[in-house]
Amino acid sequence: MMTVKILYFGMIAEKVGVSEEAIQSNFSDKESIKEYLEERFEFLCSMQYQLAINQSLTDELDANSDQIEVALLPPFAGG
Amino acid sequence: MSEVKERKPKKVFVDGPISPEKIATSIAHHQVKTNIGAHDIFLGQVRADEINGKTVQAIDYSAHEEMAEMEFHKIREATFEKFDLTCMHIYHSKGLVKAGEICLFVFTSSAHRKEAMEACRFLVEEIKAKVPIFGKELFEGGGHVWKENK
Repeated sequence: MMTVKILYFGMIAEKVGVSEEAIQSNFSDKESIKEYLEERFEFLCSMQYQLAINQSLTDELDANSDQIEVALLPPFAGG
Repeated sequence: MSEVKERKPKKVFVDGPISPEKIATSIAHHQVKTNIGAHDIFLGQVRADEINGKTVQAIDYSAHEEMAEMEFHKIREATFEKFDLTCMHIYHSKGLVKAGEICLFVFTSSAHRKEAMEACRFLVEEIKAKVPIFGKELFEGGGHVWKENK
């Protein structure tokens, strides 16, 4: 089992109602995390967002790690 | 030149708006660096946009701060790599910034104008595209929408 810290930001945090939670799960890859989240939060299917694994947008999930951070990032608005 | 290159992460976020005094002070600090011949500055200002008949009075900025600071650091390193700069400073607001106030301050310095100007432009584009910062546009009289960079 891996401990997954899930962070929600911006409009996603607003819709989910919390900014952070921790779950226990066994994700095999990034896609399986995405599927899990989109099943729980249907609104994600119809919006643009990015998943950051351990603060990286490009890294794949290491299925052997026992602790990961997943961040759901809505469109950026800096500047 | 290498002694002024910033190699350790510098904190970019400031609480609330960036004051014109901070910008003036920052410019003044560079007067001792006489190898600089050109500065370029970009200032992002919160616009009182009208959206569906409502006027934006402020933006409440939030971020994945740890990831954002790391992205800022990567962008800074890439910019030093790409351009021959003497100095580079980036500040971005978090929290509430009212319309008309400054939310982003990018400051590049070089021996000559071309490098300073191109680096400044590059930085601003990179920041807008790559840093996880989110903006809640608050309307006069209540309500909000989420800002999205084009």
